[in-house]
Amino acid sequence: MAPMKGLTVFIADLRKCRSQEDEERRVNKELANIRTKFKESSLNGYNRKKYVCKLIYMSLLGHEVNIGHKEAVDLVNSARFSEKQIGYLAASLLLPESSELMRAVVGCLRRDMYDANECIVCLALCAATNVATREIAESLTEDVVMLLLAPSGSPFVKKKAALCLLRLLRRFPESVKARQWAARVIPYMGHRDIGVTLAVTSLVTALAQQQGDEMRKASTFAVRRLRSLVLDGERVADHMYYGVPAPWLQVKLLRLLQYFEPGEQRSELLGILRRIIDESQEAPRELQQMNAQYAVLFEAINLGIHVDVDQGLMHESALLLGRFITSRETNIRFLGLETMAHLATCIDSLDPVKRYQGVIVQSLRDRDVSVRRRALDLLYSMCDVTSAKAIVAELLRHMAIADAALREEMALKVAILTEKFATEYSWYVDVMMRLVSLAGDHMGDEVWHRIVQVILGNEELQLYACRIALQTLRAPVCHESALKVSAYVLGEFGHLIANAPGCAPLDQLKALQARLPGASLPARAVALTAVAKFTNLFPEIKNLCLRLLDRFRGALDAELQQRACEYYALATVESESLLPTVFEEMPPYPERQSALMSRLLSRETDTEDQRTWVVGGRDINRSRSTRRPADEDAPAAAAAAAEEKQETAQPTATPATTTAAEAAAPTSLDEPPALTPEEEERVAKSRKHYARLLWESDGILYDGAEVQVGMMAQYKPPAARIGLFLGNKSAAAICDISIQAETSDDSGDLVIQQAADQDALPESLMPLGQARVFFDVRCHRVFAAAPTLRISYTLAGAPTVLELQLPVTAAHFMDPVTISVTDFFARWKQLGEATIGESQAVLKTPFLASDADAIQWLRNVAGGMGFALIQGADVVPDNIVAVGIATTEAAGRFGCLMRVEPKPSHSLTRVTIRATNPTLAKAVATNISMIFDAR
Amino acid sequence: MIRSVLIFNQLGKPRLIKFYEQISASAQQDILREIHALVAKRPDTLCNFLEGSRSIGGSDTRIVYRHYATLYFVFVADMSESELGIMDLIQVFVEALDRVFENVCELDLIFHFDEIHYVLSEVVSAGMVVETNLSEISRAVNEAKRQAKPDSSDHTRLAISTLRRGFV
Repeated sequence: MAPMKGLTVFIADLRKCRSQEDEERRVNKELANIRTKFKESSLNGYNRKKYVCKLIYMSLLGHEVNIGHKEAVDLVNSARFSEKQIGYLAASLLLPESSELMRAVVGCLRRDMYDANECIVCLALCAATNVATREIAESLTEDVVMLLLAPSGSPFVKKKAALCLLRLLRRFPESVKARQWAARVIPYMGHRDIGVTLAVTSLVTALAQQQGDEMRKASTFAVRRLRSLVLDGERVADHMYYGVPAPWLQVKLLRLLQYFEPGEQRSELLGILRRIIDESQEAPRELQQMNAQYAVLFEAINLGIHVDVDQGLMHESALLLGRFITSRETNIRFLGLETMAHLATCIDSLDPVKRYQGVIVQSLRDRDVSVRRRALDLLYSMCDVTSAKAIVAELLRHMAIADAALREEMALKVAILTEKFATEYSWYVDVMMRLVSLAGDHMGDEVWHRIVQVILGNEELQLYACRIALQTLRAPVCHESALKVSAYVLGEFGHLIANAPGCAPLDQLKALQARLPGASLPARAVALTAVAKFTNLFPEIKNLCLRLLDRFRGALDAELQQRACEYYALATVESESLLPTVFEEMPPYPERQSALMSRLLSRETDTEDQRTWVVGGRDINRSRSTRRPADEDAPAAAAAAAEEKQETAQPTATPATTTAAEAAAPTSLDEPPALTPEEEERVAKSRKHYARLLWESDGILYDGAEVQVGMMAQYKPPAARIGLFLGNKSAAAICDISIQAETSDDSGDLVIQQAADQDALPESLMPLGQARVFFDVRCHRVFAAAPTLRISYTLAGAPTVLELQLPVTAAHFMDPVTISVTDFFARWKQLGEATIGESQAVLKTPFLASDADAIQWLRNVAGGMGFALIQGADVVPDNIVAVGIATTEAAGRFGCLMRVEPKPSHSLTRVTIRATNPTLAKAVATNISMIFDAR
Repeated sequence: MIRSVLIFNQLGKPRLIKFYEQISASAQQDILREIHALVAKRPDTLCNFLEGSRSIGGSDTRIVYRHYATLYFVFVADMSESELGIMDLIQVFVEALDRVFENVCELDLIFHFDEIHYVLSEVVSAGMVVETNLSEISRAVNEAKRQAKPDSSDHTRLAISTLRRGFV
């Protein structure tokens, strides 16, 4: 850049500013100045460039800049290189993606990509890479592919083109149509220019993750290139880096190969890896050389783990890593621990790793927190039944001195390891109680919830747990979480130890009571419940308990007061059966994935490149590897899944397979199998009615020539009341009416029966007359299929049976809940990682008068289905983010999160549902696709 | 991939902010502040790698940084990059700046903030390494510099091809 005086002065001015306020003032003054200048018609190119430069500098310093967009585009259009350069820079840094002006930039890009001057072509490619809007992906991909594949192009252009494609591919995989050109770029991995090879390999790595086996050929190229670099000593004069040939390329190739199964190249690969590992046996002298050499080595070990983990080679690697983790270089210690954790997660016998357990434990005391973190990860990954006790003990010992940042993770990991590897109950209880006492402040409620769950679920544990609970309460210091666990456990199982000396009911109550004054409100609330349970458990101290409850009836805190009042009232009601029923022992929790695990996994976020492993035991990595090839974001996969879903969701679409029970459409008994057009229309209409009732509480369920069925539903999850109205549309009376509803199976997940106190159905129904019947519905657990409604009647001597699907699904038992945006995304991520209950569908957006209408309709649907919409949660204002919670009688409540992302440009809408119950997620997804379809 | 490249001085004043993902300007500043807080208190004997907080990407990101005189060079990368590779890349980037500015110092970066972007775009693009060969990088930058000179617009057609002739 030729120096621009005004700019230099401005920067110097800013540097002189003493305070943030000074700087702010100077910037505002300049902004005002620039605004007036931009309004002048006589602005020349030089000045335009200068002012835009000033704006870029301001935004670098963090000041908000929202002018200069048009000027940036003007600069891009300029014939002068220097102005164009600044123009493109400003376009990528200042211009919002949604700006109308982006279109003009794209136009320039297209022109510049065909400029005879390679510098301008490169500039355009760089700008396209930085800006990478959807429009660029859609309209310029082909041109960029051309630039990469053109035989005459220079390496300069090819490199940039390859990376430009990579960026577009990552942002808009569905727009770049990678299938059409993916195979053609692979041969460029053999290009003589190292820079081109490197860039193309990066591109191919991304393609390999999306297209999987279609890119297999790339592995041949990668192995060939590696062999020539590692074994044949390929001369890469310009790319020797401290004696290592093209280390970046080697690393990239080694990484790429981790996305493929090794196949027949296994032995050749092992040869290459052996050479790399052998050459690293002697420590390099110079630091720079060591960096380069070890960068290759660590990646080689990672690949070795992938190719053949249980070979001798990996035992050698373990030895090498063992040396590294005691290295004087902190970086090498860090990487040694990290790579060893990878090894530990994959290797069958942990012995080569366990040998270093002492050193690794020492690393928990390393002076660098980064190293300490890696040591923790490694210990967590290498833990098995035999080493669990020692490792957990070490971790507990370190907990007290660990930094706060690490403590939470440590606590979580201790909790998981203890539960996973516990062989004795007493050990589990001891460790967990110590854990909550030590690290209670640093962990979420998940940990103590989980402890209670485990104790409730294992009868053998309960007696010992009670003893420890009482001990904990009596200890000089009792942490809040420990108090909660203890109170809960004694409240449930206190009777188990009541006969032991010093553990009489009165002693238990006293121990609990002594803790109350200093405890927090939530802990006191838990304790109150325990006291209430005591009233049932120990009639001998009921009066004392009542006195305690009574004291809290005047508590200032509403929650405490309410609990105390209710418990007190319950306990004083004159009824023999009430107390034992209400305060019955809690049933064991149903088996479910530990919340701890999901909490830990939620730390993993989506990266652009998929991880090849995660910290943790082998089982978790194996389960990952099975789902790795499926790319969740690939639109093709999503579309396929959506198709599949639609097929299962609409059995009526194919008349041949329609069976009476599962059809949403009514079928008469004597009906011929083939449907006449008229009936087909009726089927379609009926599906529409059904779909409408999925999000509206009343409406018509069936409208035939003879009768009409209306429905009215009132939901109070987990219960509901459904009213059905049968209207006679024919000209004659109908008789022998019966209306019955039955569930799809006998599991008892859903109970539906006629309401008790209602009038019997009339014997006959006159024309235009209406009969009604009410059903009581209770949702016991989340159920999969909607119940069936069977209506039979006789009209003019001809009996008719109608079978209708009743729009009552698991999704109906949902109430809206409002949570904060951050909570939503935290849970969203957590549920996404756990992948227990995700359903996704890409649906055709219904055609409405305008896009805005369509969005409004979407919102209404979501609201009608029982979701609460969270406003302003998504960066895209049209996206809908919603939360509901389904209540069942026996299985508890299930959260359900939904994201709806309409893409008006494609008239498609992507709906993703994540719920703590897979059946629920599916039910919601099925309903939505039916609603969409019917619209 | 490399998610972002940041240069800031010991006081946390930004000298270069480059993100390879779509992130709002204010979030970029927040990330820079957070990384500065993390990095500035670490003595040079500690390792060059850090784990990012949630907002940066959590345990799946590595903050790889190097400290030169008054400046911190920070590359934030995901797990698919080799940490040592990134370390070396920072070195290459700095050496490239050194060649372009002849003994680069913080002032060069302040007054030529745009050129840093051009140099960086020859080293990293789309979050991936473009080139690691120093002479190649400085040649590309200098060529563009030459083009930007007011009177050079007519010679440009041959420029790179002549430049490359001796090399390929």
